[in-house]
Amino acid sequence: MKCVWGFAIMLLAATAALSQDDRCVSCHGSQRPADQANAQIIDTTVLKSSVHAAVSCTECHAIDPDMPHRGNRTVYCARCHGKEAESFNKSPHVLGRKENIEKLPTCITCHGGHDVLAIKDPNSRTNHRNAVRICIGCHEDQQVTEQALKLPKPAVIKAYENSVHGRALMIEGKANAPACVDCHGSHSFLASDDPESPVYKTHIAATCGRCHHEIAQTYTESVHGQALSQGVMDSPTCTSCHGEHDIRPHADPESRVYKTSVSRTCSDCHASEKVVAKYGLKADRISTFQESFHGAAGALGDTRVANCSSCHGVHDIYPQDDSRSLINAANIDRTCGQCHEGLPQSFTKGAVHTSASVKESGGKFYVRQFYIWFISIIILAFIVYRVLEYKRRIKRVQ
Amino acid sequence: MDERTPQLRQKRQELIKDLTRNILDCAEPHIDPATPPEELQKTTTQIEERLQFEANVALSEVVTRFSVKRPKDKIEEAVERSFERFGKNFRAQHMLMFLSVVLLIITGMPLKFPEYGISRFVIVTIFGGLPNSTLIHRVAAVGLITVGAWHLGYIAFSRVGRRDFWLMIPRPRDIIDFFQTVMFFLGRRASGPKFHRFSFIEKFDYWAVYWGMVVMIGSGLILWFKEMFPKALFDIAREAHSDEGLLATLAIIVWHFYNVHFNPDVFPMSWVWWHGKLSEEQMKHHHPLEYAEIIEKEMQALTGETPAESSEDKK
Repeated sequence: MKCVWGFAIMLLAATAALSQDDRCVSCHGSQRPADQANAQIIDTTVLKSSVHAAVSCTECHAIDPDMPHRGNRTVYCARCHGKEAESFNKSPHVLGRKENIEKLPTCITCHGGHDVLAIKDPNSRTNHRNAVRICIGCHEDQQVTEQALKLPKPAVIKAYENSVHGRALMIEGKANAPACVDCHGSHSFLASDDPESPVYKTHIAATCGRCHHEIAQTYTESVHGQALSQGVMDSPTCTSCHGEHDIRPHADPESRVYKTSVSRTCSDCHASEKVVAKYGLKADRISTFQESFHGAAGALGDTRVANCSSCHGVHDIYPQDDSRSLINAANIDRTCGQCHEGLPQSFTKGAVHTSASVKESGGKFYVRQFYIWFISIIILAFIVYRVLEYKRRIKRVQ
Repeated sequence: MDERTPQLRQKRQELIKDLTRNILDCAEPHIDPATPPEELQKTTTQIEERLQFEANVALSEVVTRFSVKRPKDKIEEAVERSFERFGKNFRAQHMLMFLSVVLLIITGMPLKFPEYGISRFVIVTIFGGLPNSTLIHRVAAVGLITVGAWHLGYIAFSRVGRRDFWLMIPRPRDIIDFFQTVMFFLGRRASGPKFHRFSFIEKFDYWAVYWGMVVMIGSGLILWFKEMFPKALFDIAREAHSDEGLLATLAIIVWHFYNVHFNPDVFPMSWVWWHGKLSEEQMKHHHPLEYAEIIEKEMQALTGETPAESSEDKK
């Protein structure tokens, strides 16, 4: 008796739900009729647990009225997700189609098909923690990067995994750490040379500033930030010093801004003949630093000595005549005093960045000149004397 | 014996003269008749001096071997004669000095050439970082300053120190020696000059250290106590310290290490720094004038003639 009732309820339910979708499922479900052998099988349980569970098949799939509807799998996400689609259409992922690049992603590539889940769902492909893998999946592919020449090499992208952001997100599981889309923007993914892109040089401080508010504020007021905002495109922004995908914590010896490496990073511009000549900067700032005890000790791995930012500031670098500058005459005592207590004013007010190879440095220059001659003459004389002695010795032996 | 000595000496002079004449007679067929007589005269004098010297040596050998005045154990020793070149005190100074200098060079030189891998290797791998190496540099600096003060005290207050310092003072003779050495090297002379206790080479070595000590210790102290000096002086001191350090290192390698290590006569190393002694052979070869003087003095002591200067020396 119970069996009969059960069967009756099932039949009733099935009849009530018999709709357009059921008609699709009748062929595309797991038990398709024999004459529909080519029909693609849809796992309806996946569909039912997706965010689109309540969306019927035809809302996404345009149905060819003629049966069987061969090969027409076109999906129209834009019907509901207009804003995202508009953004996506501007992206290199769409524009690349003109260049006949294969493997360009569509909505489904990233979001999945019938199994699409809400971004907030931890199992979603596009959930913050998982999304990186989707991007890396293609951008690490040599085939892809060889076709699209503008793309950075796979290693550049892969460096993200070891970056402070990548480790925080993927290893330490910090949900608010940035994934690809947080900097590059979702859907549009504009190239970094596109002025609209969030990773365009003038927008980078604002993009990083979404998490690093105070630092971005300090930077914007600094000499570098000001110069950039006035259109000096050579002026550095966050990524110029910290790197892009491979940003490391500043205490990591591999970091570009690690104590002993930062002078090399500054040298990218301050020892570049092009930049120095263009903006009338002093060309010898890096070489004189390397010549100094601070520079030499740093190169030998000593982390106690001063590097560029110890004296000039980190994000808060200002021109020397700015009263906020750490090397301003009003602040220099305090700046040197961070490490050297009790230095007299005669010391702190003395010229820094002096080079032994220019006359302007005074005594140092003349000492160097004296020794160049002194060492050359003496050592040459020693060697000549030895050679003569040796020749005589050989003669005697013969 | 006392009465016979002047006569014997005269007899020896005559013998030497005879022998010289004999040598010249033998050599006559080989002598260019056009040779000016004054040249011949000079050679004659040289031969006489040489024979005189050899006679002294031979005589001293006979006397030291068969002397009745010496106790027996000293005779045994005298067969293998050695001459003290450096006393204990001086050897200790040298040891402290080279230990300090080696440490100073290996902890200091990397700071002049920080970009080279070997510099990093020395500082980071061997010394475990700059904090250690700079500490060792300062300890060694104290060692070097100590040697400087010690040596000044030594040449002021020690008898041997005073005597050696007096002999170390450069004299016009050293310039002549230098040119004669060069001429000898160029093959223009049959033999090099004869040296006393300190040759011009050794004098140069010695006085170069004075210059180096003054510059290195002076500039090093300015760097160490930079709080007391203006920045410009610090810069000069740093440049001088760095350049003089390089000069000293090169001089030690090219000059001093050649003399005491790489020279085929002593390779791989002369042990004088350790035992302070020279053999009779070495004395004859390298310090013939000093050797002759020593022998002369011994002869005079043995024959009872004790001139005023040597008796003063004995005190």
